[in-house]
Amino acid sequence: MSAENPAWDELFELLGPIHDDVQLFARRIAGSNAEGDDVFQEAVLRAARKLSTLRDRARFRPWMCSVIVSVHRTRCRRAFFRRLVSREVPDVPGDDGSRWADERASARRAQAALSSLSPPQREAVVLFELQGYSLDEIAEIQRTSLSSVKSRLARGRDRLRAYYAQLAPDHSLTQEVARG
Amino acid sequence: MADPWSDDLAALGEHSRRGLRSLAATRASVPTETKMRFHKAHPALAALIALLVIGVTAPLAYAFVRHVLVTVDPDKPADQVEKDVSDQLHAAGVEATVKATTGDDGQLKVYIQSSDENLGSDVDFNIGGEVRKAGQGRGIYVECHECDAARQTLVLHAATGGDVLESIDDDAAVGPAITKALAAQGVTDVEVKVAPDKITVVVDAHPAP
Repeated sequence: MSAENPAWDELFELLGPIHDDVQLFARRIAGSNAEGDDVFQEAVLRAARKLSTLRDRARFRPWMCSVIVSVHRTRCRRAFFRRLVSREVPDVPGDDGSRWADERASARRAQAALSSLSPPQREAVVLFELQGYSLDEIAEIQRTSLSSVKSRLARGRDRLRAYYAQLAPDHSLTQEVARG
Repeated sequence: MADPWSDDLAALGEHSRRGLRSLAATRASVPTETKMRFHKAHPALAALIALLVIGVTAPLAYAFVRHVLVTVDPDKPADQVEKDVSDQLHAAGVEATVKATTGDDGQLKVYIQSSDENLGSDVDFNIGGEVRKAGQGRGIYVECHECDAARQTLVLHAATGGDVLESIDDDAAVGPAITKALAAQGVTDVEVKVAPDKITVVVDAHPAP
């Protein structure tokens, strides 16, 4: 593979130090880990094709995140894809059933809440809250202005707040039942 | 006071780490691009087929056409895409009729009809940052000589119908499909030339009586 296309070697050399971080980003903005892996795989393919357009290799991390953002949005646009995408968080076997069950429930709730946001808002919230990126970095990744990022974060948080406000009675009830 | 979603986001953060692929696994999982068909290697673009339809009427117009880069935002509804493409072509001095449709499968098709025979090779589409030739390098050019507007429309619709588009990548099948579709409309004086970059349909029939 690499012998046929040297760009692959360079791509994976650049990808190495940030591989887990950008893969996590893809998983967190997608509906599930499996869907995130598909987004990431498609982004790697796209990155290989477009690597020659990246002038400053030092900016590979935000550039790669931009590619993931682009793939994610393209997938979100496709109506037929939206019908097929499950926003369920798939079960993952673990050695501590109860703890993992709690984590899965919380993760599922977070995914559902994030899915109520527009893709740009979802990306901004994930980048800021989970990935720890600065506003400037998010603006570079989303290829937009700082004020747009601030707006997306503010609106995203408003929507999350509304989502959890609507969820609150059921959520409380569930917790009460769980307490027994 | 923490936001009500803080704990859930933290759980999502942890959950997303489960079964994370290694770099080697990622590399192994990514197929060699050169071995993939275009629509497999470009799954995002497979749903965004820009189909170029050029209707050339006789006498052929000779015009100098500059390179035209048309930017398409597939996030917009079809009617807005139609307007955007039309405006961009108009701004570039290209007279064309644009029709955009979105199928049930989400596939966006942009039809550009122009009397400029050189248009096809000079139009690129920029879709989500990916620049590509209209019609994936294979447009359908319809030369309908001495046809009136109604007949030209009939020929264009028949030559670019569903059966034709389904076989547009099959060199052996696309010619007969076009001939058959036109024959069904009573158009029999037809010559179809299939080339790698374009399919030319020449209709010499005169307007129906």
